[in-house]
Amino acid sequence: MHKYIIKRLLMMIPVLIGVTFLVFFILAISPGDPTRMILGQQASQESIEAMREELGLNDNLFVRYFDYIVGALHGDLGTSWKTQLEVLPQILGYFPNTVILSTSGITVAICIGVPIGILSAKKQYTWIDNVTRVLGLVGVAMPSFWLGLLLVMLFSLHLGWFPPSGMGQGIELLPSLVLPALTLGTSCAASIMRMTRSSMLEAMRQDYIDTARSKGLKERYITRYHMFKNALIPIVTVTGLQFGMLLGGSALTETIFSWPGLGRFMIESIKAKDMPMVLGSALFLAIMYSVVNLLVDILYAYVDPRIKAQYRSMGGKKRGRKIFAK
Amino acid sequence: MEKNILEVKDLVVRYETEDGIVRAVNSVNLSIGQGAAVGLVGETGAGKTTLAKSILRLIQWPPGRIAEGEILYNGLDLLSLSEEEMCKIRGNDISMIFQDPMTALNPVLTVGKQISEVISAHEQNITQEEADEKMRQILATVGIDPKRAEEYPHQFSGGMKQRVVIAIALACNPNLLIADEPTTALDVTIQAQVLDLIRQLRDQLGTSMLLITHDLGVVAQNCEYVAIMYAGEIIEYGKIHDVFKNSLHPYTVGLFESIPKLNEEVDRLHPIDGLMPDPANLPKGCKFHPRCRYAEAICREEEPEMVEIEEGHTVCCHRYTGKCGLAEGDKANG
Repeated sequence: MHKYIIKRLLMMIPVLIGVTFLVFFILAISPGDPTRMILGQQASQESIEAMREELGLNDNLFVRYFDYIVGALHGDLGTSWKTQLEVLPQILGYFPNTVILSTSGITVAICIGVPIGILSAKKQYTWIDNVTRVLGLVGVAMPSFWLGLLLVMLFSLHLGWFPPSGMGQGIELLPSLVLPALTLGTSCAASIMRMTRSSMLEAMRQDYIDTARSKGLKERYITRYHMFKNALIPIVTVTGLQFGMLLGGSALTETIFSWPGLGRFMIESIKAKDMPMVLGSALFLAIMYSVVNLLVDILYAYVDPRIKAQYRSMGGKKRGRKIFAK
Repeated sequence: MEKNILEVKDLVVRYETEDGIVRAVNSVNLSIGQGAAVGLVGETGAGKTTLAKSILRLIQWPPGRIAEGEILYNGLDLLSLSEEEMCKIRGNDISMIFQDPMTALNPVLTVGKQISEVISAHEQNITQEEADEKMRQILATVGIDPKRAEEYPHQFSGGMKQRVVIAIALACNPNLLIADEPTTALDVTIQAQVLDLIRQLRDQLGTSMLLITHDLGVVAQNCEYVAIMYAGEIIEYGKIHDVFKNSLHPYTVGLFESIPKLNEEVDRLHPIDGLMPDPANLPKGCKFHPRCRYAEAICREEEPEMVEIEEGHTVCCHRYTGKCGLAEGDKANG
């Protein structure tokens, strides 16, 4: 198991190199001169030239990329071109806010998605199933910015229960969290619900469910210990992916609710063509996404003893998810 | 006459699908005496498993439903019980061994847990430790080292898994055991071991058994009675000796002819021509007539009734109801 985890951590290295490489070159070839952004349109040719020299923009692209990677390995992600602040502390400052929002969002999603998915599967072909399926489709299809605005209209403007935007401090945090968490949670809940429903239906058809019934076990017990336990792998997978995506900064939701998170910060940096900030955030998000994925794969081992055995025997030659991919 | 532990009367089971109604079991009558073993033989798709599952009311709606009939267990109509009362019968009074041990065990629970949960479900006021202790004894009884209780099904071989399935079925000393093709998925040496084990345990516990199989040899070794099933109906029933020595129904005769014999020179086997009819679209009259070499006009029109030919030996064929010339048939046969 340890061997497997180490192997997976090593596998993250090429992923991160790839991500930084892509972002670096896309930013480098994108039109617009960053020095003009910084100095303004009226800046003299000399000062622009001096700035280019200072930022190292006149060097070869590969040299610049190499310098960046060396810096990153030393924990130095550079300084912002716009604010002259160091990149890493800024990211670390915004990141906890994103973690708070994503964790609440995914909790909302699980609390809504899993029970409704189970109910929908158990009542297949009844009106309950039909209603939940339609709601699930609506939830997936509805853009989060629109849902966010609707929620603000209802709960902030009409009812005045929760603040429409911003992140409260201390005791104020909870009410300010409700609407953004609901917005994020609803769209994720829909995919989690659909996955729960289909994997529960799959589990319900298995022969061991007949065995469990023939033992005289109660239906509730069978649902929980025989069906749900077996249906968990795809649910964990989809939840993990969603969580990774949320950690990647839910730029839209954060913008609507003026939530000081990483997603909104990244959008602002892109608009300002603040290359070190964008690169730093992209690298950071890629690391987070990979870590969440690794955690999900480790979680599999606790859900399914067969995968645990596989991890042990092969030291992780194959990823657990693959056996379910067919 | 001995007391019957199970009586199935005019049982009709249907699967109502979008493509039409599948008539899986049609007016089946079957009884099993206390302590007796009855073999239920038929081709794939004859409705054997559906019959077995309906005895435990395991047919799931949708799409399946028990449409008519009675299932009496010691005189108690199982179809009239509530789901909760039925749960007390399943696994405790009547239990079932499933066809394929590879899929019959839950892959994410330890085998020990899968055995002890049936004990905990039926024995009142039993602590988890006592249930575990009993589970270990049962594992030892079926020939598995109790130390392996903490292992998962994927760590067991096919034959060992079937032993676990048997342990689950016999954990609460049931009165009736329904074994649905317990050896079909296993190789021959393991088949013999598993059948021996079932026989031994039946001798110890005095359990009655309904053994479902398509292997007449297995029936001959393990059962006192045999019922032949075709297209959802039982077409011949009797003591093993009677049915084997004096097969009456043309289908039963066909079954025996399609078994290779060591003591006779045979160039070719004689399979029964044709296929089992689609249960969603059964032929009119006798269900077997499209494949029957003696079929006459009446067979295509009228369903035959069950007639008793000798004591306890019944058959469902017009050749024995007197409506169709038996002599002519025999001539054709000769």
